[in-house]
Amino acid sequence: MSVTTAKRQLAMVMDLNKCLGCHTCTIACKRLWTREEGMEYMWWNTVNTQPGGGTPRNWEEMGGGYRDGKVRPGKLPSRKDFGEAWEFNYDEVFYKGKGDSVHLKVVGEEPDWGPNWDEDQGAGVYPNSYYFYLPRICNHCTHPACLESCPRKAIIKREDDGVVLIDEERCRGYRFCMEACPYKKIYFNESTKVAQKCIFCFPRIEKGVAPACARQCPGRVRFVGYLDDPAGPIHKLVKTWKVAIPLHPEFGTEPNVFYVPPIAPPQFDAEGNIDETNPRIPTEYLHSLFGPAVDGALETLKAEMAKTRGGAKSELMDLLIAYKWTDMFKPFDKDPAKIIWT
Amino acid sequence: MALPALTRRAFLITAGTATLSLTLGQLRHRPAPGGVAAASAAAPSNAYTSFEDLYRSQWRWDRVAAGTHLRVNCISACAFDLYVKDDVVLREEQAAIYDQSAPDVPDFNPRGCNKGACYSELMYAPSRIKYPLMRVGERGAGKWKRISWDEALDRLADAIVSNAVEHGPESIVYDHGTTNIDFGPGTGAELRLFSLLRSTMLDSWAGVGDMPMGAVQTWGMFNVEGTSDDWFRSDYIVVWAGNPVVTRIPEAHFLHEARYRGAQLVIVAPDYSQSAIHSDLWVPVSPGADAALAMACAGVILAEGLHDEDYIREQTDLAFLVREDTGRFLREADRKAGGAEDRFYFFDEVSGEIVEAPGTQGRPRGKLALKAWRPALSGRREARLADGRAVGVVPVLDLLRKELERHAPEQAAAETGVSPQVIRKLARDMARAPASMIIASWGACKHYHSDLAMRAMILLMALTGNQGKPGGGLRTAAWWSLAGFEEFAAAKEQGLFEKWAMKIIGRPPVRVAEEFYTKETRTRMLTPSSLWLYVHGGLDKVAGKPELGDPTQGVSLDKAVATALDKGWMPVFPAPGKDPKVFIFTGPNPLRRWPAPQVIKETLWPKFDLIASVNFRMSTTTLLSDLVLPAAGYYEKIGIKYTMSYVPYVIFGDQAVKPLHESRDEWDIVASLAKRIQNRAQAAGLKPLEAPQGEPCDLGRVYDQWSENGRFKEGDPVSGMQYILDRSDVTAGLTWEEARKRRAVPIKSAGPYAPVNAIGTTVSGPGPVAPSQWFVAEKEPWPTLTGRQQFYIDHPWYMRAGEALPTAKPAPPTGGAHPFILSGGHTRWSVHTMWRDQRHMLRLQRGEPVIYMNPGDAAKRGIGEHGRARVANDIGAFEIRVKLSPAIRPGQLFIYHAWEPYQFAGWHGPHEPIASPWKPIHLVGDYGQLHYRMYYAAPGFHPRGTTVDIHPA
Repeated sequence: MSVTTAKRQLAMVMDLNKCLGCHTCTIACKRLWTREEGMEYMWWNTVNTQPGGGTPRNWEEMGGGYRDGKVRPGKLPSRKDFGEAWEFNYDEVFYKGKGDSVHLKVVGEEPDWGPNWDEDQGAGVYPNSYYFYLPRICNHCTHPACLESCPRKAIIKREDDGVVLIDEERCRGYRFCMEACPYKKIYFNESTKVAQKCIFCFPRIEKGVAPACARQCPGRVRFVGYLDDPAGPIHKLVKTWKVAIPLHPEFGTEPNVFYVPPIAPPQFDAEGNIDETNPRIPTEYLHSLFGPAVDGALETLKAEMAKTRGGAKSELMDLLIAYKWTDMFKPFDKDPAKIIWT
Repeated sequence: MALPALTRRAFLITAGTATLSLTLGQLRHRPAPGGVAAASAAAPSNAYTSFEDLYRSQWRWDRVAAGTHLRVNCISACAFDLYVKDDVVLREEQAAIYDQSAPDVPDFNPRGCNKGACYSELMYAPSRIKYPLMRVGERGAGKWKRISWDEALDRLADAIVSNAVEHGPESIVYDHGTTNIDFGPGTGAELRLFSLLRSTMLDSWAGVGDMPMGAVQTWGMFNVEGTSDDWFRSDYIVVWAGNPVVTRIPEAHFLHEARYRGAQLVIVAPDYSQSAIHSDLWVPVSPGADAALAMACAGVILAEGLHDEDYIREQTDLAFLVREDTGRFLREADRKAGGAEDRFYFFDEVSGEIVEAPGTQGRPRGKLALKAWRPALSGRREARLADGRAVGVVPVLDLLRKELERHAPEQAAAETGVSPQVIRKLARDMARAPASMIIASWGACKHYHSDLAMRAMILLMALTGNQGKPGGGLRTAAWWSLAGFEEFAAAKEQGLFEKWAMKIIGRPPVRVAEEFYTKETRTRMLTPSSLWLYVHGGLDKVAGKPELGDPTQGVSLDKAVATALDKGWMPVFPAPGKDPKVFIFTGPNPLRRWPAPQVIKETLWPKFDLIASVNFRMSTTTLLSDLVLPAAGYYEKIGIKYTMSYVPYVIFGDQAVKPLHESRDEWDIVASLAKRIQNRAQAAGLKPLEAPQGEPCDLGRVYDQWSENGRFKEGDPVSGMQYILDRSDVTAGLTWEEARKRRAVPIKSAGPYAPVNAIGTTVSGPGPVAPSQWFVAEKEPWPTLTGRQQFYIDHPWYMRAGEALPTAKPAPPTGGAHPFILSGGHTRWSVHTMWRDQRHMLRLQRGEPVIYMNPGDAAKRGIGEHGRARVANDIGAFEIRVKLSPAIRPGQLFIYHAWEPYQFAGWHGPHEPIASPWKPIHLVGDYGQLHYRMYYAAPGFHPRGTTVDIHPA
């Protein structure tokens, strides 16, 4: 297992009970970082409906990460697994004199998967249907399997903030990192022949500005900060309250993105009456995603929600409410529009 | 693995935007092999490496401009910063500069959504219209000729002048949809010109299915909302018929944060919606059975004594006396010879007398406060009539209790699919919470009987005393009213004397304002679009089909329309028998929006000499028009995003870059068009033309009137902007220079009561705003016949239909006898058709339209996941992919809103099976609050609840 060299670690907490599934994060990232040739199909930030295939398709079953302290290569996701960047026949519909004999559609092969293909489908049987949204970025792991698997040593973990970056100058496109990453958050650029992924908006971070996915999130889902900053919300949510937990901890990479797990409304019995014997989202399913720590996190959340419902105050609830939005990002709370480039 | 993709660069070059592609290609200066990128000015915390500098340089810009999505018809208002490099808008990011309105509520930041965050993609997209175009083939054939602006405007001016002269000014029809407008100078200019031209203006508020008729029936107004941070103050939030997680993306966080504060969030919807997943209780109701559910809840609240009697006595008509013999209210005319029809009574338990209620339409000066009276809420009494006879009278509440017996939970369970246990819990929790709220928004208008549902929802809020509480009451949506915009758009400047008088006397009562708008409507050329399409568009052939009608109404739609026109309840221009000749639409997409567009294309389209589209992007209706005028995009002109009350700020958009290609600001298009019309009219020596109502139309002076003799000029939209700011008390004292720097400016007031602004609460400083304070706290009468929240409507048409009281009844099979219910909702992926064709949005869906279906239903029909199916009924059909989800209720087919018909085979879009008949009672125009005035109380559009079937295609 690689040794953590970062002095400090940047982290993100995503509150799944506030996620709107709106993909403003996805678009914010797309418009900032992945607009060049070769990057069209990349979505460094994704949001998927769970349960579901996800992005890339069935990534949770592709392997990677660590076993017994050793990197275990998994499957190399294909472009089709991620979903292609379909192009459309706009010109043919608008200007080619074909009238309603043609309609707007994907050019070429008909797609059968995409980065959000199974949106809002979920599982269960009506009315006990269930789903929730899971936004994902690179986890900037404490033990990045990608870094360890790269024979070119082209992947670095920055010392000051723990951001994991692919050195595109050193990268030769071998894609061992894509096999090793158990979260399958690395893409391959066919034009430049390098691997690319989320950079935690480090140019923004360096200027004291939160990543675009976090700062542009209208659901106010994402907290950003240093994991070891006791004054920041991340430390409180992850370490003090333990309501924010990593995804698939069993992959062994120690992710630095943490999730406040989802609470769904109660189920109904055969008569249509409220039935609270079992939660709507099966516990086993949440265990499969977050491990056993999800039980304690949900218990704490529910207990604190019960407190405020009874009229009492809760420091945890106040934290998650984030009365002042900029408190979610401190010290990365600068307004980017105020930056003057010289 | 390799993808032979059409790359962005290749595409842009093909599309002829060479300069743009160059700029985008230079976003990241990839160094030559072995080279080093130019050093960034950033002060990095880490040592520089060249690949990191590449990314640092990508996040650089030349300048930042204020931006917002001016004319997109989204119920939000979000300030964006536009990051501009080499005169290209690279990207946008929320300005996020809103303050907390009080320390105990969260702030509004950052607002925005996925669409707003990529308008900079859409503005440069292939759907962007670059040049004026003229059709050279058949309509819709896609054969165009590029023409000059001079030629385009000359053609339009010729058509307007010749048809106005030959067929009257009303033969020119102008449509901006519902609100494909901003509140800035460009839209103002457009409305101003067509007001002066005395063109027919389609009032589509109801025509798009956004008319909460139940609110009009009960309150006499409908745009009732406050700020969205007021949601945070609620203890029990019921989202009923809406889906704010998808449709109120900037506001939705307040709902989830309210939960953390201690509120319960309940979602009433047939499907396990995106909002339901974060709720404390999801109530899975049958589509269209909302009224039955609400009535059952009301029954529980009354039966268990959970209602607020003091509130009911003061704020509702439930104590008003109704005659047993006629079923009508006891009126002064019954009691005294020569008495009024609009004065009413209650029985005072203190004095034991029948007392005339203050504040009714016939006693407009009275207040609602009850003094020493205690109006009886039950019990039969005798009232003596003018002729000496005595009749039995009972309060409305007694009648209501009887009606509610028919809707007991056990009975409602069968209709709604909701168990009696859940109904009782919903009713009790709602009644017991300190402040309960129903967010109904525009969802509760889109079914045939939505008015009944909404009346019953308001009943719940009134019975529990919630309407008017902070964090309480039923909410639709509202706007801060920019009076200056209204004055500019209508070319009717309020005199200094009137302004001064308003300052001294204070705001007029809502009832007076309502009377003003009613009169004003009859000076304008507004025509309710549903009725217009029934008369001119061929919808009588489908919506008027007797077999699809509603037998409970006791009158056919055809006959009802004839009566309404005959009585002058509602205007239609041109009058039946005359044809509309020129159709100009500026942003909307009527052949996507209107019901049964295949019928309209066949009936209405041939009547037009000229169809002109002013838009920045290609829509289906633009493809079916004759003349296309390219408008500047949202970031290419100055403007004001329409001022939703959710956020107590006015949001401004600056011109970040010049209009792309040959597009032009609507301000300039209109100025230029007005000039040409005037020149032609003067050359022909035209006299003023009579309009069917209001002022005549003086084509020979229209530009002088529009420009106010040169005060407003082509190329100078700032003159219009400053006029709007100066004359709106919402923006008092603000200059445009300051506005464009500040991007989002806190409101100074809510603006005057207006058709878009029934907030009914005085706003004088920061703080969450709850609506309806004037009525509940200040005791001003509601603008209804009874001066109360009115639950009894004794108009003969309502009584004939059995709808004098709120009730519940099944909808007629509006698509014929078919087993599935076609329903839907707005999508997160577009704002109507804006962004529907945008490639990022499509890539995050399936690249083409889908319809959601329950897997069990699909199996029975032999339809597989992503299979192709045909949805059809007696009216029309379309083909579509099926997406299976257990979140969808069995029997329901769920299609998200506003796919472009050109995304379907043969351009047969999902409105083709929708006939959308409406209730004859919605035509009523001679009863208190029930009459047509601008944007109010016209027959609606009911895209949801149509009966259809589905089979594999």
